[in-house]
Amino acid sequence: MTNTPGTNYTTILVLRELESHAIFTTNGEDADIASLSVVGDGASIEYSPGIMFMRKQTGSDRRMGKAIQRELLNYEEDDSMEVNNMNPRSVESALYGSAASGDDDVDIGVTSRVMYDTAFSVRDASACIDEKFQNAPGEDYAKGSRSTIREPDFFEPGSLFPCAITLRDATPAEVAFVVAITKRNKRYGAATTRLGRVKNHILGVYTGDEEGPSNRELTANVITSFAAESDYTLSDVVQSPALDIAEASEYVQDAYDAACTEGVAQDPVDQAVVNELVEMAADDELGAIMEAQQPHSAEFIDNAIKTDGD
Amino acid sequence: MQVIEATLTTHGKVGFASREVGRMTDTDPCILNTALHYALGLASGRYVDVIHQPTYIEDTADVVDDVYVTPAAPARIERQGTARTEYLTTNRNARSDTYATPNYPATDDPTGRADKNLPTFERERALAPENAFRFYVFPYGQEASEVSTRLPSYIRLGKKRGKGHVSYRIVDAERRSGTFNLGHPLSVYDHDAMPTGGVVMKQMQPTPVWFEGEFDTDHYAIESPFPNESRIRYPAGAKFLATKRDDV
Repeated sequence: MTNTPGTNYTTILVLRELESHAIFTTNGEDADIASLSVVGDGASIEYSPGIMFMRKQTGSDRRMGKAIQRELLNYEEDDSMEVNNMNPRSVESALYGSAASGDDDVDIGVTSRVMYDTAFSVRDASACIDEKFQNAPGEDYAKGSRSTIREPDFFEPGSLFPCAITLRDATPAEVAFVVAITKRNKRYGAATTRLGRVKNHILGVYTGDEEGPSNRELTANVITSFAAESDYTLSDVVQSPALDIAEASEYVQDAYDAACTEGVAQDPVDQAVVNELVEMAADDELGAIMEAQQPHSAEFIDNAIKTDGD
Repeated sequence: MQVIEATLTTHGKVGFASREVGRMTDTDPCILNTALHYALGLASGRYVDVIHQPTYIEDTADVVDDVYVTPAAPARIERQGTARTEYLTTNRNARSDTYATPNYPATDDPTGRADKNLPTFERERALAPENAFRFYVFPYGQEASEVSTRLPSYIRLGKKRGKGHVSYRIVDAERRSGTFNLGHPLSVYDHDAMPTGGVVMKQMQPTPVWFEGEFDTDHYAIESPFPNESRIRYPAGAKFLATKRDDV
């Protein structure tokens, strides 16, 4: 682990599937919607997918990472999501970065080596978002008027978000850590602890010295593949009431594999190794890996301070 | 000489803190070459930052004589199209992972944090997906085709490192001398020529940019992205932060 960025990229290819209603919103009410053009065989459409911002994924994954770390490792200095009070020497903060440490003598900023990418729903927002009336009346009988009534946009269960998570210059232990986080984290979106159960299907791991295709291309490819494999038009696919997850997983993987053969300098990691990585999410194995990583992460930060601080 | 015409398409949300107005962060529709040098892997920063000072000059010392990257400006992708920039405006907040986070009024805060500048929420206006930008890469003393194979097709840009795809095309550029109107933004510190008139300049961080201007110096007339359109003119011999370096 060195302080100067290199070109060792590891991509974890994930299909995020909603298993319950979830809210991905920034103003508390409206889902974030983008506009995407998809070009298929002889046809093209412009559709409006709901989006799951990179930071919606990062925030939730980081909390899960901190929780796993608390469970498996012992730190004298606490490591939390408190922005001004992170422990930059911990495995999680050394990997995901920290803006400021609680220690006034060491004023450092650590760049994240895990990169997320805004994810787009495969179906159009009109097909996968539903408004649900909510009110929070409390338990008093008599009330004045209050602003507890709202109608937030909920993503429907079954919504699919193809995602690529890219790690730069990560050690094998850190890759195992991120795979474990992705495997274990099941809550994303607003009110993460209660709503929005998400199943993350880990489709593959790729390594190389370049970054692979974006979520936008993966999503577009899923749509064109669904259309090509059936009699549906592109618009039928984005408006369909449901999509097959096994097929979607296959298309996401195909899209990434195709990009790798077409010039992106990345190669798929053997499926047996990927399965092994996923199985390592079990506590005792991951514990041993994290413990082995722990001194390296601390050393990584300390060395950087030593060399650059002069 | 041949130069590389690069077309960047944003694939996610890409945001820079071009302007910070209270709780609002705004992104200008121009990507400076300071960012592009790092994004393209021509310069490399550090993961752990201790000194909190930009080191553009040191970081690019090895490549500055071999290659020059221009700032990126919004691009038309079809001949009759317009170079319009689409934005996404979002809120963001910074919260801890504790279960209960009490908020105290600033006047009566036992934790002493309310009077510190701790981020809680802010609004960010960032480039939406599918925005197109164009920039040029000048290879000095090398073949353009050789340089273009070393440039990555996917890059990360901006505060949250949003993804972008870059496609490259090798175009021909004729060296000419005389007066011309600038055809593509030029960072003020990248060339020692001063405009003689018609200046449109924009103050950006960290370097200001000439957007338009009449210059009188040697320049390249670069083949336009569209057939039968006039060539794009750009001063010859521009170097990244040239006037800020000791050796110039």
